[in-house]
Amino acid sequence: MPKRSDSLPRYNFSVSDSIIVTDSGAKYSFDLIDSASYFPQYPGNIVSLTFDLLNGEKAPFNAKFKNTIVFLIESYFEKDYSNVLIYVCDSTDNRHFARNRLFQKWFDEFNTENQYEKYDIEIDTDGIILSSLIVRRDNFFKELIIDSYNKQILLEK
Amino acid sequence: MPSENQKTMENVKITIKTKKVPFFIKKMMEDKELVKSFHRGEISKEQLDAKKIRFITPI
Repeated sequence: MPKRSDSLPRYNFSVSDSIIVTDSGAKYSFDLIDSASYFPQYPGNIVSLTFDLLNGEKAPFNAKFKNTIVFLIESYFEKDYSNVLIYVCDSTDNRHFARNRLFQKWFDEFNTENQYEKYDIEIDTDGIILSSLIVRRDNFFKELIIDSYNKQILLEK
Repeated sequence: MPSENQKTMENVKITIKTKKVPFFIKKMMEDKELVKSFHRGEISKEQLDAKKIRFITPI
């Protein structure tokens, strides 16, 4: 089934370098870090999403950037129904709540057919940590990873 | 234990109060910082490999 993001304008992505280049020449890294080892009970892929401005002017994310990120995420989910994505909102600059709102907005915008489910966790330690897990609705193993995710939250080492 | 659990069709929100940062979150944040350092040329691919950091390509 074609992805909604297939037909939308987006920036070039270099698979070999994991780099997105915008029209203004800014370069962003985009990586899906293999994180399956933290959830050994789960049989499929689990990745942690990260993207970061490498050079160029920091600017608000425009529609083309959003389409690029969503396209890459949807492509990952298209590869296998059991793929799982987790992200932790970067809080080093205290803008984690804004990031969380932005990701929620993007998610709502592209999840119009409810093909994905998102589990948001707010961890209240000395500061607030915001983390989310996204699965395909048709993921046969979703209860397993959600249960494991909740259990791992309470695990301290 | 979860103190809040709001469920809609596609979105579940849980708030957890805990004294320490969960292990996997701490490790994921460390992994992210290493990957950022790699892209900025501060550490080598070999150093990433030594930390057992692997990537999954989206396409």
